[in-house]
Amino acid sequence: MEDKDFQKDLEFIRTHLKKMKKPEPSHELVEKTRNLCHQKLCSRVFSPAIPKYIWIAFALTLILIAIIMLPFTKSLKLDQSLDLQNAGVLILIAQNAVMLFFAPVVIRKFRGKQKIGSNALTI
Amino acid sequence: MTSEHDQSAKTKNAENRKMFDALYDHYKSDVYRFAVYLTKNRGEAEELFQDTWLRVAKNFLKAVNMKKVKSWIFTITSNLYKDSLRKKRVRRSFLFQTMEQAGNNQSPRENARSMDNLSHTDSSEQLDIGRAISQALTKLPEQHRQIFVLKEMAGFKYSEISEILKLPEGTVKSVLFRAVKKLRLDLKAYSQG
Repeated sequence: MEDKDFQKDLEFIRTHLKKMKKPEPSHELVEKTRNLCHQKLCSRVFSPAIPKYIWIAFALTLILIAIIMLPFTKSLKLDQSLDLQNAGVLILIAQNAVMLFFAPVVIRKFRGKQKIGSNALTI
Repeated sequence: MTSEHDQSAKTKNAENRKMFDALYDHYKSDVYRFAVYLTKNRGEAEELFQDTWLRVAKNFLKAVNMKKVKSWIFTITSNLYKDSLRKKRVRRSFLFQTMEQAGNNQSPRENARSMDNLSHTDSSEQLDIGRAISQALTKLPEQHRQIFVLKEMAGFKYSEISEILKLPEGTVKSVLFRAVKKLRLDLKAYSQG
């Protein structure tokens, strides 16, 4: 019974909703939003895919390092004292690792800025 | 290498613009209507409409391979609206109590007035009922209105609404039931037909 009433009420509202003229966005708003979105789309950087040979070289280097370093892990002692020379090497390794890790971010930022500059000229 | 990259980026941009335009032209009216019925105010609706599409453009690459793009866009609108409400609440908490009360007393009338402008009807016969439906919609609680608009105006399924609003499907159904009852009660003066 309640379900029937609900359907009846819903039909009544639907009938009148169909007859109502729905609000439409103004042409000005539509075009302004479209242009802003185009600018946003163009400001994105579409980097080309990384070539396969880079991945292969990357994998080979990793394997090679692992093979070379593996025998030396036996000589590692946890209570070993860290002298200046070893600390220097460790810092150098850490610095290189951090630089490698953040290099893509820096490059992307740089390219993004370049892209925005060229868009500003064309739009 | 650089010019090649520039060329491919340009082609990619042109392709993306084309795809974006197709999506935009297809859903812009639906998104606008949803924003209007959510905010009950044209100015805020326009802002919400623009913010929604800018968010879509920002995450456009995600949308390219998406199956439920419409749901995704409406989820963005709904989330942005929730954010704006939260910001409004924070701002309001800094105002004097008396000012807040005055604002609250005024808002239903203001809402009704702004919604009057939203429901243009084709004939004078339909003018009253169109206005009455718009006013009845503004009186509905937030969640009831959202669900009603998504179901009856945007044409979403219960499961899709449940995804958009992050609510169980049963809740969506029962809220819609209550919303329809309330609307019908408000429109009691108008005969069936």
